[in-house]
Amino acid sequence: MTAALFYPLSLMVWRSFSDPELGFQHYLRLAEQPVYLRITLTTLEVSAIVTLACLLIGYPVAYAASNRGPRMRLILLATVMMPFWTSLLVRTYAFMVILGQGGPFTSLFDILAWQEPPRLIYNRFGAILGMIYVMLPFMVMTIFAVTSEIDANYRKAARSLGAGPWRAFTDVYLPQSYPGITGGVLLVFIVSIGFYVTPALLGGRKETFIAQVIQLNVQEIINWGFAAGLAVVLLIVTMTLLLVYDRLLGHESVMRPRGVGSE
Amino acid sequence: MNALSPDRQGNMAGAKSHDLKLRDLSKKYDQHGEEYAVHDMNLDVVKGEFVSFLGPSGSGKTTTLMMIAGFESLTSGDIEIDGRSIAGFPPEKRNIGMVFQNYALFPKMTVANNIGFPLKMRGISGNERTQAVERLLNLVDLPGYGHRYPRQLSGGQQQRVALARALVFGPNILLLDEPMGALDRKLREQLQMELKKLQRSLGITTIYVTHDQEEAMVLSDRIVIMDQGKVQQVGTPSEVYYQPANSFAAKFLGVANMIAGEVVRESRAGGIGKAAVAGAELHFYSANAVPKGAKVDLFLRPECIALDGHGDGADKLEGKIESAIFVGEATRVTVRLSDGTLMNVTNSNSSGFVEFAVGNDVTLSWDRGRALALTG
Amino acid sequence: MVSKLSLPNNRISRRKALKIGGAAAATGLLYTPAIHAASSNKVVVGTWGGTYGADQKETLFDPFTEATGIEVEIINGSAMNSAAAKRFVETGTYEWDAAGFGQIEFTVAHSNGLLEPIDYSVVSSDDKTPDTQFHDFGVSISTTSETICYRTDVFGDDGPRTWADYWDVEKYPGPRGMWKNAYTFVVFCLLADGVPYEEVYPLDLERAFAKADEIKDDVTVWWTSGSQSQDVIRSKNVVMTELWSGRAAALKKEGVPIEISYDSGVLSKGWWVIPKGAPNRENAMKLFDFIAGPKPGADFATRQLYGPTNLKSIDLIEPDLRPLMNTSPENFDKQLQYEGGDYWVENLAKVNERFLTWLVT
Repeated sequence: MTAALFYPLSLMVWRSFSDPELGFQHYLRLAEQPVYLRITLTTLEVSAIVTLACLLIGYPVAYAASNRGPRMRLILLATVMMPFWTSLLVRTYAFMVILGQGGPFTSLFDILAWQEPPRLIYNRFGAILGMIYVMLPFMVMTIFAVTSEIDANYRKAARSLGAGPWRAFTDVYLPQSYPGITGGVLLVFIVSIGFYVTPALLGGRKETFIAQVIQLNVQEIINWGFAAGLAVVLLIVTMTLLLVYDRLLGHESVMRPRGVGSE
Repeated sequence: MNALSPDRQGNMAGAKSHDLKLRDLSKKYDQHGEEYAVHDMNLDVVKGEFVSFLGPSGSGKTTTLMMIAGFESLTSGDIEIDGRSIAGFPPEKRNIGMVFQNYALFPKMTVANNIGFPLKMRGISGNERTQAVERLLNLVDLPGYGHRYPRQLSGGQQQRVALARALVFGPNILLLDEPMGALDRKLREQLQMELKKLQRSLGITTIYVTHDQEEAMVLSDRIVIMDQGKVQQVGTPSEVYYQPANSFAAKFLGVANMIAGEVVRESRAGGIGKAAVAGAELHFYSANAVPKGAKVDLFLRPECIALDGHGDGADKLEGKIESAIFVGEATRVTVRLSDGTLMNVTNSNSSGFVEFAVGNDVTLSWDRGRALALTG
Repeated sequence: MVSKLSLPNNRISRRKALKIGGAAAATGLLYTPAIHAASSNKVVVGTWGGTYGADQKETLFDPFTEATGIEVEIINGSAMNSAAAKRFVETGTYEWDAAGFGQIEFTVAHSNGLLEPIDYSVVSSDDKTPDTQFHDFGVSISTTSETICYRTDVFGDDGPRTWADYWDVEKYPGPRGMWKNAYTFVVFCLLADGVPYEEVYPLDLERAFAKADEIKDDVTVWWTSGSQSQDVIRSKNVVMTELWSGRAAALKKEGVPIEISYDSGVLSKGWWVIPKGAPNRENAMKLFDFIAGPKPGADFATRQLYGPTNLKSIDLIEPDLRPLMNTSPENFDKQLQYEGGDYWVENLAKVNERFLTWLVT
């Protein structure tokens, strides 16, 4: 199966060096033209913000779903999962309605007739908000998969040993949820940098992502070699991040906690 | 705070002992409901005493433990240590050591860090902490295990580490929630012995929750039998065994023979009376006064009944042998009485093996007044 | 119909092209190649699918089959650009015999020798307007225009009609929409700067981008799809926008209060083409002969609201709809009709890159 995955990937890498001529011309162009670096940085930056926001919002949700009893769990998980019932495009369009002219937000401003409502769409804010909305379930479910397995007794034990509620959380609970955090962060970030639709529909001109440029080169300009080069760059960035992450936090943070008394 | 340290003779008795009082302790399942998880519980635990809460699941024993630890709130009543109420304190301020059912050793920390955790929480660091951890590791017979991780330990070892962690900071009270459930029998027996020894030498007041009556009897100075949120009886193992307060307590501990009957001669409290039972009139002993005509169950332990008949004044009953099973030190015989009651008799083989044939008639006898009359 | 761009470099060796073509097939475009051989009674056609494809089937293909008995097999959703044609020609494997190409694509494809020359003894001039419809390598039946639309409830009758107006943020204030597409935008900049139609090509990029800077902060929405373009002006997120003429006409028909201006419109044609050596090329040309006629053109235009290239079709269209057609006489002459031809063959990638750079800075 790995071979099946690697074959098209290697074809693509090869193409970036061979289409239309053998050589590094695509990579040279990527390096020389500042626009590509800029777009890459924008993509990474926005994705990082989205990932962080999803983590800060998603962790408490996963925590509550894991620790506040079955009813709360059901409510929270259903709320988080419901967007999955509709397609990405529909969800993004929904946000266009909510954030744009004639939507609830601007209407509220009109009624209260203050000043011009701040623009929430066709800019970075809209793109980020839309992406958070789409990616949040991934973060929550990934963290939840880990935190739901953390035995409630750990924190009780910590409390009985003299740790206050906050200390019990940071010293005992949080370390055990690291694999979930890692998984969530990686998942959300990697998916975000490949995003196309949401930033295109909700963002401004500056929110042009790498994926859009790849699409341009594949379908419009039909310069597949160059598109492959862009894709390879994206791939390298992703792999580098994975390596850095792993090095920094070690395998411990990627491996799941084993059951207590599992011998 | 006093981390456990040996006195000059190497004894660990340096720590002060504390008493525990439960006063009219109650907890409702649901704040607005009427059902109680624990109802009007009163208990005075003496300094250094080992008390077990014994009962089936749902009896309220774990809930009570959790209230003492501070993980469950009280609906009414109070909990006092050395005369001071602890009910208003959060768990981390109660200075109570607790061993959980699955030990809850922090998986991401080494054994040493686990044991050192409560010291860290109390601001103790450096050499003092390292030495305390080492002392405890020696105490539970795991020297040199400090660098290992919980997942590398066996069940028995994990339990010892959990114990060490719960003791290292010199708690006032030690609480254990069915810590031996996951272990096999031989290991359990060994650990029970060790725990008992340790508790004695430390003199720490201990509450132990279990549903295993044998375990409770081995370990405890006193046993609290609980059922459906209420205390059924409090007493030493032998008190509870031979003088159960009611039929629940009688049946919960070991095998109980209960013969239904009616009082023909009343008894005073602590006195002897007579009851018509299974076609005969037999003596009974009762803790409370029992009037004539009252319905009672006569209670006898299997080992108190002889199958060869002896002496005058002994109470006797006739029956037919239904089964006889040799179990080594004794033979377990079941005998059917004329009124249909099945009696369980344990006939010791200490004076030699006696064979019993199924279907034979046999006379059951016991010392006069050995049978206890139970009205509840 | 959307204009598509294609490979600028036509000097690719046959061997390299084969390799690329093979790799392209392996890397997986989205369909399974339907290898077909010549058959006397059918023609295979590629379409975009969706309502567009459905309308094509009903107004063009089915009537053709009825009239001639030749079966039309439809391949939906496949890529219809010159890269596809290239692939067919190089590998000898044809997914379709005929398809509709956008203006730019057509230019690149025929200049690269990828298309079959049209036999004008098969495609007759009866009832057709050869001036607008016939080309050596393709036949046009429908067109599209880039228009300016504005909301009448904001500007009344006096809204922006030319690109110069669009650029005038003082006279016509408000958020604007624009297609995120290099080669139309650059032309608009030049038109806004007063360049007359005949001087637009070759493009003065410096001038264009200097002009572009003036409007940069006032374009709120850079739309990327037809439905998005309609949505942003329908919802009043923008008060004026560029729109494809068919989309604009549809909105007006819906009842949205907009006015469509062709005053600096840019007209481009869609071209039906046959990849060189396609198996059923004779039937394909018979198809073209039929669909280029006034009635099919009129029927299709009525559905999709893109003006027919056959000017005789206009008379067959309902009078109410005629003003909505970009090829109605009143609209046709206002627009820039030269599509740039060879200029784009050379400069497509370069202009795109420059536009992208300008866009994100």
